[in-house]
Amino acid sequence: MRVLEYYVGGTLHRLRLRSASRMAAPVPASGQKSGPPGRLLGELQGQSRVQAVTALPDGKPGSSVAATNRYGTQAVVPTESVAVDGSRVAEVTWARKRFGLVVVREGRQGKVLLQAPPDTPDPLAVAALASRELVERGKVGAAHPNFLRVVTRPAASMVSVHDQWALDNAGRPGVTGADVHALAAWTVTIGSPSVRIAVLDEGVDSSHPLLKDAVVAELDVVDGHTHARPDGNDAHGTACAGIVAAQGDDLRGLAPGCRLVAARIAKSGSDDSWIFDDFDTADAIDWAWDDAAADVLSNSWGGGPPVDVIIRAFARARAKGRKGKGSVVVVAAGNEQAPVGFPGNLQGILTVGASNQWDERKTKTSKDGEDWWGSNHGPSLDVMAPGVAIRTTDIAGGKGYARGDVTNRFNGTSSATPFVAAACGLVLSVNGTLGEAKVREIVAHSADRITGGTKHSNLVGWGRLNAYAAVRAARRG
Amino acid sequence: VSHYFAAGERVELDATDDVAVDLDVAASLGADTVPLEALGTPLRGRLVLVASADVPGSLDGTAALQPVYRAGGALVVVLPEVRVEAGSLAMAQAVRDCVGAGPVPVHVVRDDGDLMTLRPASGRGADALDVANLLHDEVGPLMAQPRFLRITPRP
Repeated sequence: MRVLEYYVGGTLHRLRLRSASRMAAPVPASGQKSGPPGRLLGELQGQSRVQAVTALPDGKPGSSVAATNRYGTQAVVPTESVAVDGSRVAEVTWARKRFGLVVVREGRQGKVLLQAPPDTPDPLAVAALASRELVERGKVGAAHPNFLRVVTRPAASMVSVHDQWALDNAGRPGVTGADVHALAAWTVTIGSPSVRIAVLDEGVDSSHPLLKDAVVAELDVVDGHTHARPDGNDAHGTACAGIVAAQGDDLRGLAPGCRLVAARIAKSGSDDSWIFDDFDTADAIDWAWDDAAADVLSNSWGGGPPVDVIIRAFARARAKGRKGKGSVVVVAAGNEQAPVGFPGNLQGILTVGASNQWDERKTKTSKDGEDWWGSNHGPSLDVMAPGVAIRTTDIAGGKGYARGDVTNRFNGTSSATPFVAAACGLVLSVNGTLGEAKVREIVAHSADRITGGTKHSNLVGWGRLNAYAAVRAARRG
Repeated sequence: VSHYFAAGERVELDATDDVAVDLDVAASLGADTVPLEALGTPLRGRLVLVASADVPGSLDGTAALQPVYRAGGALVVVLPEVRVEAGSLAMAQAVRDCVGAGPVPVHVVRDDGDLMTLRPASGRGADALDVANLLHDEVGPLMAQPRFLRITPRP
């Protein structure tokens, strides 16, 4: 049995390799029949030159990158390539001379993918050795063999297609009651049509049958259209809007009685990026609280450096919105399981992290099985809300996250944020005299503690959103 | 490495090997934009992201090229525009005086009392960054913000 050694975070990791013939069949995605391992590897080989080996975790802590979760085991297939981060030209030149590696791709943020020469007898070993020596020379940020991952999805059969667990969690899967307590909140209010919640995103499908009656104002600062409908496959904003105010029998937003303001501030780039213009974004923020009279601004976006135009636009919303009572600004914490970045790290806003069906902070190792993302953390984090396997609206037709008009798989702090925005809408529906700071205080301090403590935590803020407790607190003023 | 200011704090901008090319401006300067369009990653309008090494030297220093930096996990394209919130009419006049006497010729394209939009006559984002920093260092308005186009990972 071979062992592959490489560095992660300065620590040497060992990955035990097994031959393909001995590999356990990967757990298939829900609804798919399990194919033989050989077929799987064949498909992978179509993407990259991969040797007929694969790896499974050996169960020793710290000795493997693979992980086992409740949904099954991930397979990790090493390739003959080396992923280098923070590379310098001199180091790439050194690797070429020392090992014959060639550059096959340059990624963003200084990443380079190097590949062992095809005539090398054992390219896997060459790639691993090269990665170790690159790290040991101390002149790159990171270097390791490039892996293909066979990642299993959470079993969809465990989540009913009609299940909005975030609103009412029956514990299939998860913990009963680990939800935002929507049914109880709706005994008080489903939201007032006089309360407007703005979704600033990559557009909202304002013709969607479950949203069209809620949308009362639209702006497109990207292309200048007279509507805020998205381009192509851009479904993110439509999903956020559905969490706020979808109006259906089988699918409801948390505040279906409130009204939606849709502002299109971004569009997808060609490489799974988001492109947006700070001045236009600031203008959209100002339009939302001023022209469109939005009471709450839901912002499931972020990243990059701080800028005054956006900082000051948010400040104006808080100071001048709602005729001086202040519009509530709600911002996603981000999904890198890292410190909260801009604009979630601003003061005077509600910064939202993500929880799962078990009332855990969503991390790469939480029980939900979505091991590719985790909720960001830090002192600016205020409150958590559901962010895993969220059922919501999808752009109509075959585009978007699903083939129909609804998706069951929206996730991220992007999905948690509109839950909190909607809860703010419910709070203002029962007590419109509250100032924005008081609304933030009510929503944060009425949250259910999910770590056992009573104080603020950098990991989970004040806890998981409880919309019922929030509207009751709002009634009391 | 360059910088700008946000909330009074200096923010570093790391240089990249990329540049944003305005294809229309490049064409007006006689450049063959077909290979640039083929190589480039579309951003907005006719702006594309291209490796600096792939850009013809004839475009260096022209308004066809806008600088691209890395900051906060995002790429930032600096566009040739500065927004100013002066805070008072006296400060607004100080801003006008400063840019009028400054080293970078500037057009005032909007002037609503203490709110102004400035555009460097060169059409270069690099000059917009200099103007904003000059105003911050010399005059101190509430805000002097160069216009950024940011490219982040999709949320």
